[in-house]
Amino acid sequence: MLFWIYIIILSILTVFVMIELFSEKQWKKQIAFVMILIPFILRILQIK
Amino acid sequence: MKTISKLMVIVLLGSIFLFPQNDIKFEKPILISSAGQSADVTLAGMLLKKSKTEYKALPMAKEADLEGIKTLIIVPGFSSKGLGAAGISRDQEKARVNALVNAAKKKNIKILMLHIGGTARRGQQSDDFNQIAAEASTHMIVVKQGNEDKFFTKIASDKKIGIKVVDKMADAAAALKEVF
Amino acid sequence: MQKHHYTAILFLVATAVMAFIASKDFLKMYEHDKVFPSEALTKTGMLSDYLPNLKGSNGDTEVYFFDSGVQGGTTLVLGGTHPNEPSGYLTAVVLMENIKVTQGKVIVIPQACRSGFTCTDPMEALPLGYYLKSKSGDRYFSFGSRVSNWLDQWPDPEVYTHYPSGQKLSGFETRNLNRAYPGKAKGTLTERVAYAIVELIKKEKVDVAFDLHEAAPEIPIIKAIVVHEKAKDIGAMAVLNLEFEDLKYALEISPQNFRGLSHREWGDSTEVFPFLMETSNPIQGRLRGRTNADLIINGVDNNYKIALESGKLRIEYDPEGEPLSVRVARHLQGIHAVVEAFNGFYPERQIVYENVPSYSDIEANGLEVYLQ
Repeated sequence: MLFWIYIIILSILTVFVMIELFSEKQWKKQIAFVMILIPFILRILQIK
Repeated sequence: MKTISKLMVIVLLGSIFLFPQNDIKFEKPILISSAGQSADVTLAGMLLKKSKTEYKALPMAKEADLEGIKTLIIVPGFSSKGLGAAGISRDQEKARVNALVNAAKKKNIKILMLHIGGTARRGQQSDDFNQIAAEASTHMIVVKQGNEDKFFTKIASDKKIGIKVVDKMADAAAALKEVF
Repeated sequence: MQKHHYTAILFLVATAVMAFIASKDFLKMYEHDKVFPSEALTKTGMLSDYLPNLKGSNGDTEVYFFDSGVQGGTTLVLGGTHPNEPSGYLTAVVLMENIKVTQGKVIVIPQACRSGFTCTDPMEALPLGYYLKSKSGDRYFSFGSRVSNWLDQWPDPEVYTHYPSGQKLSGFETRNLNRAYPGKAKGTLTERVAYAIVELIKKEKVDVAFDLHEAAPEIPIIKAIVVHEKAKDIGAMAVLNLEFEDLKYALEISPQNFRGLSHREWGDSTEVFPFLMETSNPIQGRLRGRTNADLIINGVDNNYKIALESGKLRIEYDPEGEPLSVRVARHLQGIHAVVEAFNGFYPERQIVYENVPSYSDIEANGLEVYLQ
């Protein structure tokens, strides 16, 4: 149960990061969102 | 002539005090105990077994255990695992060792220090125990690797205590047989 | 669509590509290393044979049996309890790839904490594996984490309460196999692995069991054999005999109030004589510099050399390094010495094997000759 709550929270955060990525006008700041996305995606997929 | 003879007697008698006895002999029964609770006490027991010498081993020996004993062998060396196994603190162990060696001296029990742990039983934490055991002893047997800085040699020289340095732990069996 | 939308899409595509590339390396850690057991192998089992609920999980691991068929004792050699301590794993591999048992039985588990081999410890910049030369060419060996993969066992509690003693340790230790013994049949993954190993010891009537480890050069118990108090005479005899071969080992007695470790719990809950052996591993050191496969294999670190030359180093450190081959050689010689000592004390339960390289064999010939 706790595991699925964690995955849901992580998925919601990933969506928020993607929304911010598309909202951000400066490409240099978009890179920061990308850096966060990689570990989030790997964790949701249970690869790392 | 009389003066020369007197001088010779004085020199001969004086040499007994100036030069430590390397042909010292210890008597049985033997009690082995630890100073610092390293497992070297067990190794010391094995060495005595190899030299077919009977002994009793009590790593946590106290004054009462000296009853009937003629020789106390102290095996110094600090071990945090050993202290943990014994359930005591470092300070408590130091107090026990001090009390034991003082009691042995009061009862005229000879003390043999056996340092066989090499560099693993030297250093800041072990040297307190090494010092107590060495200074209280009548004779020391030390493995060379634990005496590279001449720590024990210096104590032996300062306190006029006999010392036998052996190359390896296994050689200590022969050194033990020599003194019993 | 505005310009920043295009860059966002571009970056998302780049993210997907980078995630895919990273995934390949991470997923490769789940592949089993190839091992080549000697002809003396009589059976390959799995740890789940001793606890069925491990089957299909990352806690399950191979168990190799070398039974001479001649009445005698049984020894168990455990490598890979901590997958970031490569000499333990490699010692088990060299042993099982060369051994010929002539009396008694030898059981080998090269990767006791299989889950730990599927990841590395975060923020340590550790390599995922390393290559060694062997008779069949370059062979890859996995390097892992000290503890089970948190993908397999999550979350860590704030405080780990050991079963059954109630001892409290840092929550991180809940995934440490060498804090989980005697284990629990329906516990966490790590507790179940520990339980299965203890069940194996009981069911196979193991007489002498080895847990092979490494530690940072600054830890006081490197080059040591840690014994349960009931095994101290065997340990002492082994240490003395190793001295005759110019190999120095310290003997340490397992503390009774430190629970969960193999040398304590195996001895308390079974009839086995447990021995835990440690070698010195610079890649675990806190002073270490560049952390890579070279440091695992050659064991030479410039930072330790600088510390040694400064005169401030309070530990024993060989400037020539601690190569993996020497560490494996020490473990193999230590196992042999303990088994010989056991045979001396218990002649009716002899364990006799041959064809396993000695310390001097590896010193002379290197390790690759003994890897198939």
